[in-house]
Amino acid sequence: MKLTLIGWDSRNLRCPDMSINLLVNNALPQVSLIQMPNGTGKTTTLQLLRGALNGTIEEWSPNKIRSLRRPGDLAEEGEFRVHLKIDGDQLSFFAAFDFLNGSATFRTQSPSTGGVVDGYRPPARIRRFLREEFVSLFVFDGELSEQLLKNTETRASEAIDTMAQIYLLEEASNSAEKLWQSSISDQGVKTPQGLSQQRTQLQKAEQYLKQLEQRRDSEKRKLLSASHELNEINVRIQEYIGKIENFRDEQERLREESGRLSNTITQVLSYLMELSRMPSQLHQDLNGRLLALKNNMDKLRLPETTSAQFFRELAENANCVCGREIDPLARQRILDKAADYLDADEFGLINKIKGDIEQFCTNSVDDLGEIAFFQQVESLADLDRRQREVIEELNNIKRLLIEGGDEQIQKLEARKKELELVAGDAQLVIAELEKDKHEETEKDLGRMRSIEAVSEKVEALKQKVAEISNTILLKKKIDVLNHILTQTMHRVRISSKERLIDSINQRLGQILSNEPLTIDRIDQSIHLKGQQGASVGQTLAVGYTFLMSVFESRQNQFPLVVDSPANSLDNERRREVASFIPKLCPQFVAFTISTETPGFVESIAIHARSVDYITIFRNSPANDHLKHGLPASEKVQIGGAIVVRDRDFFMSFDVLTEED
Amino acid sequence: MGLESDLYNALELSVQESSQSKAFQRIVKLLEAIDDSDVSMEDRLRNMQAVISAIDVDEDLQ
Repeated sequence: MKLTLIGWDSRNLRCPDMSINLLVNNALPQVSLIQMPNGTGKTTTLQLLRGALNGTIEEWSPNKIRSLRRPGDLAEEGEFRVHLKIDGDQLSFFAAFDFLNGSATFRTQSPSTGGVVDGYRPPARIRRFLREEFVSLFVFDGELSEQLLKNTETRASEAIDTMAQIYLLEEASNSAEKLWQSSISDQGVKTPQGLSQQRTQLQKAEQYLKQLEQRRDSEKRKLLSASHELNEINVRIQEYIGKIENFRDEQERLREESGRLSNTITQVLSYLMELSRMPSQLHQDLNGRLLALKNNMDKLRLPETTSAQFFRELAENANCVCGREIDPLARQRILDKAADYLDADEFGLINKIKGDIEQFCTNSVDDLGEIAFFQQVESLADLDRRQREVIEELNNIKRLLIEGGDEQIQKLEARKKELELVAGDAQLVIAELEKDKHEETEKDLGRMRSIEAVSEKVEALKQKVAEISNTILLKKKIDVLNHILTQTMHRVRISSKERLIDSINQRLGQILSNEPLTIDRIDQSIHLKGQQGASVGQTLAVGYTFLMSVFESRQNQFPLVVDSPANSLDNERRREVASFIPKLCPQFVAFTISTETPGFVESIAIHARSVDYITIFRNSPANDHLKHGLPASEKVQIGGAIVVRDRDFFMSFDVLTEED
Repeated sequence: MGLESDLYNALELSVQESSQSKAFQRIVKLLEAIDDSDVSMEDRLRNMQAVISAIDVDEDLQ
């Protein structure tokens, strides 16, 4: 993959408005020297280049974005564009700044994204090379080389990690950690010991539930047995009394009456239930309100989706439903007026409600069943009262016999009482055990009585044990995955560094043939063989060689865009650095100031295949004197900045700092 | 797009060493999904879960 920087445009920003195209006659020079005096916005331009390339501009703080506005300028918006070529395909990022909101938005132009699209959307194949940490390796200031060799810095290992995609392993490990954290966020226990405790609790709860269920079943058996025996005793008492002449007829009469009363009570209850289902019949107020509801509803309409077809088909008929002929006028009238009778589908339901009210409600108070309802309620009370009296009279017969000293009936009644006590107790216990879980007042599982509540606890404990088991299993798996990722990381670093050291040493041998220099190892930083430190020239040589070797280790090519590459060097070192840069870089873009021209600029022109000289200064009254020496107009671009593409002008330009 | 050969080879060796070769392709897919900013967080999570389910561990938790 080959990435080249083609140019950039800026408007309404701290750096002057300019449009820089690095191409010369449609070809890219190997070296582009851009001379900008201090104060012209060099730092801002590099900052914008980095931010536009790595897409972080959108994340910049409002203050940082507002600080990009030219001091004293009232412009509300600004813009920066950077143009690249990726393997020959054009790619541009447009960053639009809103100084009022302190925000920025991106647009991306690329054939692979289908023209201009919103957002920062680099083609997938170059995304990882435009990550923040990677862009800072090819758009940087003169200090980067020094950092690469400094023991306390980690830039060298970071560069290798980025190129070797170590960040993917780190992100995978972070994702696994997030998965683990989310799985334990609602769980206190996550160790085998904790799991064991939970399992013991579950076993105890299951045992307790079993005890309660056994008790319920036992009480049900008791109740069933007592009920059977009670029935038998009742039959036996009835038969016994039936054999005593004095009481036989009376008992028979009372039993028959009791039977009749039961039937009548059942019938009355059914009738009352029937009436209860028709609220309009219960009270005249309910009837009146339902009728009022119906009258307040809209005029009857038909649901449109199911009824529109009816009107269309009617209009097509020769005759109407009333028998009259449908002429063209009537046909049109039917179609026009149909809309008045159609409405939303909900009208189907409303029509049904209206129909029901009409059917069940009556306009005459006389028709109401209200009186009948209350009469039936009264008669039900009478029937119930009489039923109780009959039962009492039957009991009186038994009482008379017991008082008369009848041993048989005494025994039967005594047994009956015992059984009733047993059945009553059993019913109480069953009711307690079968009560709704919401009625359970005990919080302690061992004291709970509701089987439903205990079952729920058991299920919750089962669920918890399952969750803990899964979590512990998940932890084991994540540990295995992390081990694999760590081992992979270790291996990748070793193999990448070994290959890189070979490549760098080979290049260093070529570019510093008079001053042999080799790299011993790379841990966090680069270490030279046989020497502790390095001269400024050696540092730059190692730094540039390292970067180009990192880039090219995977057949990739990147430009080097450097701020003040030779500022800290003496002339001899400048010549040395200028001699090896063209041997290393396919594209070198240097932002320089006039003091770097001697030594560096002169020397690089000798060694590079092609050099373009660009001088940029603000188009301001303070710089009017500079306009006098401008070359021919085709070499000059005048806007917010004056951009001059001319070697002689560049070499003779002698402004170190611009007055703002 | 895709993984660098150093990374791919190192990963293959590491899964073999951990006797988890079954998970290799799923880890590759996970790393590719992480590298692709078009892949949603949900899909990344699905890839992670696929990796986890492909990893064999002793299920005796005692």
